[in-house]
Amino acid sequence: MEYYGWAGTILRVNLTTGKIMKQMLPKDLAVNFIGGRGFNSKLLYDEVAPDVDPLGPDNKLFFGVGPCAGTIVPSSGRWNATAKSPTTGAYGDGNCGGHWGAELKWAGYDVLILEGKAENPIYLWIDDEDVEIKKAEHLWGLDFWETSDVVKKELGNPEVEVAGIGPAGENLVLTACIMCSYTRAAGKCGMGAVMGSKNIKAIAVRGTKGVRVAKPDELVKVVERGVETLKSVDRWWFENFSKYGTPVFSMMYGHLGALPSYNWREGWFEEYKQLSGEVLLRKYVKKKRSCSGCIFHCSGFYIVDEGIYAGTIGEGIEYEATCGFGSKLGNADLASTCAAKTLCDKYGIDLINCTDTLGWAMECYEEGILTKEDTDGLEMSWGNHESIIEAIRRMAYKEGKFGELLALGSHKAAKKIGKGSERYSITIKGQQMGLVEPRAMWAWGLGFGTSTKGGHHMTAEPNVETFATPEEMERLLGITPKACDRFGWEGKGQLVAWSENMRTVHDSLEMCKYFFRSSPRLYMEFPPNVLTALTGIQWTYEIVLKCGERIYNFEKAFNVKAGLSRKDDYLPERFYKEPYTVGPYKGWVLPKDKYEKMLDEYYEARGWDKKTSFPTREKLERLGLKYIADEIEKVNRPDKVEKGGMAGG
Amino acid sequence: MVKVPAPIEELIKQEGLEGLIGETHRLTLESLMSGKKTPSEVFEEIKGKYYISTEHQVIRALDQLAKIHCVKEVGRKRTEVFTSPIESVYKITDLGKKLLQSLARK
Repeated sequence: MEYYGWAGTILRVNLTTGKIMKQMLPKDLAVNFIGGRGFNSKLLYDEVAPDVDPLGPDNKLFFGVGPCAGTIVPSSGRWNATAKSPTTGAYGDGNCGGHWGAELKWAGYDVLILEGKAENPIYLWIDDEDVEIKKAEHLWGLDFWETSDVVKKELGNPEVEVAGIGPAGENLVLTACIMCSYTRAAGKCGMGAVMGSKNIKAIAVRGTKGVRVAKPDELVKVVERGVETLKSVDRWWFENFSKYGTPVFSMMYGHLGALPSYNWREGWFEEYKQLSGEVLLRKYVKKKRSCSGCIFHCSGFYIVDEGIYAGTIGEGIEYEATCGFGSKLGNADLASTCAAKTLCDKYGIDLINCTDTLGWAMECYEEGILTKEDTDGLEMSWGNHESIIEAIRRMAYKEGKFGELLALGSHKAAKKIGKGSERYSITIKGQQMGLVEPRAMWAWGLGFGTSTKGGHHMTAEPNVETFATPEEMERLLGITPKACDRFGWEGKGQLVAWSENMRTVHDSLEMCKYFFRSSPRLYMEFPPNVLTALTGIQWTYEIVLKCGERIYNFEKAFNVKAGLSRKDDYLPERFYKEPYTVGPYKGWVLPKDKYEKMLDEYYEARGWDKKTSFPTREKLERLGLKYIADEIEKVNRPDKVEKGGMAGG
Repeated sequence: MVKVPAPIEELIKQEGLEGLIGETHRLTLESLMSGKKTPSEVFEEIKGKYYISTEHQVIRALDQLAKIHCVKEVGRKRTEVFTSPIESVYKITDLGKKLLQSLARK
């Protein structure tokens, strides 16, 4: 079959045998699953048993790019790494920007599958059609920046793009991620540990083939129209995000009482303005940069040139760093958050899972559950940024008993030490959460709970809750305008189900979600129009949305088979029971009875069984997934067995 | 559907905002009747009404109203109360007053 948009080839590498295979991309995979995350989710479900050891050779690691990658479509150079997650014991993925995705596409591949486990450390070199497994003993132990430099040098081409792991991935640290383009991370779900478990340090790619587009002139028009819509309908977002990048959220969430602080105990941080995008821009950001083909240039290249962190350089300083290492750890020292971000990039550690784990340790320290003896002498008090920096290093290298503990991530670490520390592990399905307070934005709370990846902020990312007008909510999306009230439960189930489906589409196109921040019109018009121009196949909003729903049901079905059910879709008790104690929003909680109502409405909107959360046969058959319905029927329903659930981290 | 004056109706159509101008916009315009304001100042006056719970919803409404010439950006002001430290300042136009009358009649 002749493909437009898609490259048309799956590259499969068995690391145990060294066998390299190229397979034609099946047409039904392309048209029903779009690309990137969609391809990976389908392949994971079909090829990986839900009971495999996530860090064993039977797990597979899928790298997928989208049909837009490497074209003029803005913000389209992202890629997905997918596997069974060692963090959650269920579906896992990390989504990443940078330039590596476009390069893989130009080399002629939609998906790269890594199977088995190499006997000794290796790296993969993809040079268009030529694919080679190369020795990497000399790279093992290097940080990710050093690895990238050495690989580019030995391949003799600075334009080679490198994805890979740092020491954290090598050491199977559960907060490890896969990095690319030096500073971009496929974070969450422990994908770096999966890569490390396969003894593969890096994947170097150089592609020169370009991408075939079915209707080039139409694509130019669609892109121009989309960018124009973004700049006019979403003007505020375009201007501010381009200027500040994600650190724009520090002020936004700080102002709204939605800024996770002191390990999620509070949603208010007195010094939040010190962590703002404006301060960052004024003091440390020297230049703006972007991922492949992006129009925002949200990424800040930073240099700290004063104080104890002088000499720190890095790129892509995000809200997750400034507030993750900032308010979440009671720290108002912005320079230290830059230093911590740079360390995480070099070690290959996911910022969010790292900061939640450190937050857990700090609260345990405050409560006397962890002592200086447990921390190998580190003073883990709130705001102690020197301890934060040192703890990151120990986590990456599993150094000492404290480093070993942190390397488990907060969920497993709390399980290990007990003593009531579980209360301070703010995780869902074993996964640490992104940086938005559920008590201040209820749709976000529900989205954290229902995410197939555990507490993941980008799975639903229901910005429409607070950005769209009630009129847009009702007339464009058909959802009650009540869903615009961030403290109301009505409409939230429908909104989160819709957001998850659309975000799945964005991840499958492998476009940046920030292109689609808040304008429902852009959500509805851009994906089908761009797919039609790229592939030459007619797509509509309804078809695209159904693809998103289908992909999401695959992920859910994988989780059902891994033992997850409704009980795994709840937030940590803190959000229901512990009101904020400080700031102008003192007293806020997300009442559990309201959460239950949102969850019921969500399952109803999805066509899933309310008791178990399992997708119903009727729903699956409507999505063309009869074989999944047959398989799910064989799973023990938690409401019919004495003891349900085997996974969940 | 709200019956609005012909020139505004034409602008609404032209900007693809059919069916999307309603109570949020009425509340926003009504607030601007008492003077020039930033989105956060408008929000302070109308929060809690018609499910409006963040400044962003007001910003969206103001952007839409600006496109159909019912409000006009007349300057910028450093407020430091919101996401970006500097906010736009808006005033209602004559066309905006006509739209407000139509929306209020509904």
